[in-house]
Amino acid sequence: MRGDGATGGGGADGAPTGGSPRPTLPGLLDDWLRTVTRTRPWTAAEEEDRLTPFLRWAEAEGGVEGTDAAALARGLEAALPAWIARMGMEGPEAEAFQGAVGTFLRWAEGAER
Amino acid sequence: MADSNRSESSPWRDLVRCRISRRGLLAGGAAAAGAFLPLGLRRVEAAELTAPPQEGTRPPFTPIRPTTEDRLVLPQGYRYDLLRAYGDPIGPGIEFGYNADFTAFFPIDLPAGGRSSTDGLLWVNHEYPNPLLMHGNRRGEKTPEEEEIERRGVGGSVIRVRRGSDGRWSYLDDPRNRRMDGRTRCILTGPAAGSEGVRGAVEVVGSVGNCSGGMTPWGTVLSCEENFQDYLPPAGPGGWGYGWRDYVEEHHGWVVEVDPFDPDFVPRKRTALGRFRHENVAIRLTPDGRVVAYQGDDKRNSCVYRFVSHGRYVPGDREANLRLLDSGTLYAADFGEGRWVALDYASQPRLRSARRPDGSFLFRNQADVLVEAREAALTLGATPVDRPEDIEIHPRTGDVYIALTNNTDHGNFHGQIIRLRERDNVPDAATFDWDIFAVGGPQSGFSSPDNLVFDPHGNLWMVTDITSNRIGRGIHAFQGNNAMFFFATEGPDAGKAVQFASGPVECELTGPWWTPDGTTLFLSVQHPGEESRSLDALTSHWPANDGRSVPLPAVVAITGFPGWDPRLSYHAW
Repeated sequence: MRGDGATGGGGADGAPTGGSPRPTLPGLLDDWLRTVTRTRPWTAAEEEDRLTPFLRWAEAEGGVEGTDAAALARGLEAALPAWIARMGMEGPEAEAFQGAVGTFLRWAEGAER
Repeated sequence: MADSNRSESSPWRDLVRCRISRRGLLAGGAAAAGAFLPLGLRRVEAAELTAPPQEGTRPPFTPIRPTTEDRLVLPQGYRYDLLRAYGDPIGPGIEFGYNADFTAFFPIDLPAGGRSSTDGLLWVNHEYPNPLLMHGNRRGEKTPEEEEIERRGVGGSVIRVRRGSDGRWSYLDDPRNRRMDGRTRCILTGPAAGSEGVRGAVEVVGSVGNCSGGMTPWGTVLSCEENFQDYLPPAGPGGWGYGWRDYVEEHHGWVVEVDPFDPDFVPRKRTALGRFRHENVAIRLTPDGRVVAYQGDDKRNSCVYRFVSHGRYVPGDREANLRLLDSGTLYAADFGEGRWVALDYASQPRLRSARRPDGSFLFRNQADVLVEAREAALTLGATPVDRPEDIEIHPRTGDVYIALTNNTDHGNFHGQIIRLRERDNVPDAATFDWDIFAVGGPQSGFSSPDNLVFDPHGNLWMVTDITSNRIGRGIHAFQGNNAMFFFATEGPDAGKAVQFASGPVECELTGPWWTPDGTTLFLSVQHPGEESRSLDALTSHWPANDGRSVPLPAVVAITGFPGWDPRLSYHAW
């Protein structure tokens, strides 16, 4: 299989569009951690510890999938409340977690550029 | 998640599996395991595309063992001289930049046809800033002064270096010493210059993300802009970038040509080579003198490219040669069919009809194709591969070696080095064959191959880029710190990794480059201690090694090599 029309979404006239192969949550997390390691490396370990369990769960049990990074980000956003409840996070702890994940999700929306 | 074993299929993974299986059959039926299997791999023997064994294929050193020591470890009999570290002066009011990367040594007598191996100008890339270690601000919101420190830290340096009668290398003041940085005036040249895709610009400000690069036969350096996407996103709370003000993303992501001997030379961004996350450029010539340039797009699921110039290289014709990279055809590799696809708007109907989901055209002209080269390549069926890093050309066989560092999308955690041979070894052939040269993992001793350099015997020297937060941990523990390896490419030990060096804590060794006689190897030590959480909790103190100093990226000259006949060349031209 090559990166032909199967890798793109199909344009309005059915012509192939550009686009990357389907991304995965592990790949997205890896890219994010490499970005963080370049721009704010002092947070990289914390980011990995915070996001890895959530993404593992989202992939295995949360049903998060998508054809591109933006779709994965939307799926993660939808799954976030269930994860917060599952972990028993409340108040400032939950807000801090949501804020941190929100930054990752905003990045992910444009990650395939 | 990152250490899970995944089983999804992907174009590149399927191709690698197929190619390794075929090689297993060719080798006598012992089916080799794929690069995507994390453990228990058999190394894939390298014999299919190479010439008979030659002399000079044994490593000229006693291998070192993997280590996590906070120092640059070399084999017995080898030493290094530190030439410049971040912040060192290289001229009046000019400082050596941050995160040293690609190096290229230009013999001081090169303009007169000489090949000095003891005196020259050294080009050094400076890839990206580290806010905490450069100005101490880890809040994220930067002052203009802090942003300026970062802008002045990236780009590249030209420094004069010389080897003394005592055999030691040192830095010299020279009027040609200078910087290209995030404020330097650059010009765009070629088909996309002045186009809508670059917002009409011909002149742009600065060069960033200068990762690896290349040297041209006409004596200029090519500095490659890689992660240009990090500079615009905000730096403060809720951001993830450097947050530079007035940063225009479309003005970056190009190959930048600089003449190190001419202090007045305005850096030229060559748009004909396409815009993507450029790792490096490897150049050869066709028999009739056209320039062939191989390039990789260092991003997951991205492509390998080849540019073929329209014009011909004419030794001594500087002005004509400086136009060679402005006109030609850019191709991307389709590994499934073993063919090059031309990213040419005029002859490719699929480029003219490709649309975005909203119905608008993806490409309106050739300039758009070059500005969005990755989209164009994928649209035309080029193969997305596992983060192509350095590409180098074997100086005797013409085989093109490509480091694919890893791809977590499908469990390729340790990467591989593949080898491409143009049909009939014609540099601008329409088709090619390829195979696997070496596969990363515990069985081979290395992970995440990155920069490559050949010696004239055809031995390959490689440095690794395990991401800092994975160094020495989990499935990467076997290698210790990032390191440098030697591979024979011919003979019974072809493809076996032999460790030459180990870098300081959390660093990446980058930019290996020889003097013409092979007695000295220049090497950068990039981002030591980059995961330090504060200036009070530093994880490395290299190069001071005093237990308190802030770690500094630097460039060193390594000696102890036996060298080779200086008439030999490790370049492919």
